Amino acid sequence: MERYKIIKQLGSGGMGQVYLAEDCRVGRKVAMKIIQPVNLSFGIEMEMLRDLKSELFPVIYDAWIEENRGIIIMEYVEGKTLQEYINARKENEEEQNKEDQNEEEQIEEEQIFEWGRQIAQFLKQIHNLHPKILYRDLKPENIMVLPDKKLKIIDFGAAAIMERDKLNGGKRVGTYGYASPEQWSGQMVDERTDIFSMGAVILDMFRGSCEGIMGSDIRMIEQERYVPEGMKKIILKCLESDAEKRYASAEAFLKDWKSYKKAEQKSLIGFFFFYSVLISCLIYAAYVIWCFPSKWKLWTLSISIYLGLKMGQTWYNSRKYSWVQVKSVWCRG
Amino acid sequence: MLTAVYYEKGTDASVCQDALLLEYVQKGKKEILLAVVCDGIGGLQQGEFASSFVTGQLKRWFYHDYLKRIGPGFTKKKRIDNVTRVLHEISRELVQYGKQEHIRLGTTLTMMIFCGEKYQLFHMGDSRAYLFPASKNMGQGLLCGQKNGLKNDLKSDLKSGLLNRKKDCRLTKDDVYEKNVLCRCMGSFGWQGIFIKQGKIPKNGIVFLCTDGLIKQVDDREWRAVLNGAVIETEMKLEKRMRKLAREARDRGEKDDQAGIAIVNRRKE
Repeated sequence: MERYKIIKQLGSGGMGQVYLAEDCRVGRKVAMKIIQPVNLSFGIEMEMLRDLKSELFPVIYDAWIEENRGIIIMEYVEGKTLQEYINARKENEEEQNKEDQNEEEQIEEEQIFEWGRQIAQFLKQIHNLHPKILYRDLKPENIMVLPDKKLKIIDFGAAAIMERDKLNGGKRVGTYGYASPEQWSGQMVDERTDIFSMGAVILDMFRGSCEGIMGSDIRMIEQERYVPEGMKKIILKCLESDAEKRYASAEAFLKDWKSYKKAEQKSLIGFFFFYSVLISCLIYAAYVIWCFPSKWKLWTLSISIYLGLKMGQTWYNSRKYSWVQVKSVWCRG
Repeated sequence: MLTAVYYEKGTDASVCQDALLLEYVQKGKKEILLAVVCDGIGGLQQGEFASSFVTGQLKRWFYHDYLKRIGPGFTKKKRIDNVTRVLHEISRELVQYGKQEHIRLGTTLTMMIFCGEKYQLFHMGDSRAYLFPASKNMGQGLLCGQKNGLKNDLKSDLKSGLLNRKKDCRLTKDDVYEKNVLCRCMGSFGWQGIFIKQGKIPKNGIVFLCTDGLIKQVDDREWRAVLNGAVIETEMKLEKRMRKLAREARDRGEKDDQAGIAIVNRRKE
């Protein structure tokens, strides 16, 4: 510990505190994470993460246990957390007094797609280790956005090795709103718990606010206007409360995530095809009506108007009898 | 309705122990709005968890339960009973969590449900709710705050069987006015009843819910002067005014967390 001089505290959470420190021996800035209490496999997890070379999480320089505290020295990542990024974006757009603020608060869809891919890639890497490591605390606060818009996942305080097929829940770990239902209730968990958290983070990016999934009816997510339909299905599958219905792995998620763009193009083609056929039918019907003897014209016109009114009424009722969310804000510490 | 929120962590705190929730929904011409502010009890542990847990559970209840019951048969009394029951359940869950973790935790609660212009207020603790009519002559100000008594509500809960005296209540010698406000909260001190009020917002009136970080350095007269429903036409303006006065409180030395919701009854012509 003498080697490191603490400069300031960067943050704190349920598992410990994070400090900005200076490595006096080599003269570089590092992040020092102190975890308390420390679990028995702390040393093994840190060894595995240190050996895993990935640009998606910071380099771990050193880790040890001292006086029942786990201490991790890792690369200091400069940038904003995803939470700060989302909140700052929202404040900036409001100050510029844009008329339609809700649309402008959003991160671009392409960016969300790329970030979703990076997060899934990160989960794939740690879940493919032997033995697997579960991250268990994926949330916007633990994701750094670098100046070049790449992501780094920080804070391994809640990470744990998965022995055999499942990790014993035991004490509650994670963050309410991002932890899966089974994780939050202290049950056995596996890599699908991280998939749930990833879905909640991606949803936050679309919403433009860090709310997590706590309390949200899944049906309200279906009404979210800013999530493209193809992505919505993928996100909903991540957020299934029954782990059996969720993506079994980050790889399965990535497969659908990458192919959603192709599906979106297909649905666009379908959209044009449907309306082309409809317009053609209407033109043909108008022609037929014009050609019919006058007595049949009246019948055909009456039936068409009746059917049109019926369809309109059905549409109006479907709009009328569902609650539409006008505004939803949830701020908490 | 125009709505705006203000939320800021205290200057000395590492995490904000306040939480707020605003849910505004419409169905045709009918509109329902749920506004909640909670202040985690700083003297206990995990105040931030208590406040976020309560608001999260209320958000879930609002969509899963309350909205589905709205209809001709869902009378005012049934709404009050429904809300009282859910608050009691949430408080119990907090107590159970505290026992599991061997900690004590709690949060204040000020909650309002608006159906059009009519509101129902549910309150516990030292956060506040104000009603500022557009005309100063109308006089109303504080709807609820620190000193609201529990005389009617606790006794009626016991009489109706919602509460069991031995199991649920920790009655003090004065069950009308609780001197130590720390004990009157959702969570570890047990259910002590809830203050309930009903009323109507006048046209252009403003309802302002806030935690104590917004009203210690800036008093309600200053808030009333700034939050004038007759001149506030947009949500942006409402939010700017709230932010301005909240920052004024900071400049005067306020260090506590700040959370506030303002709602203007502004009907479209």
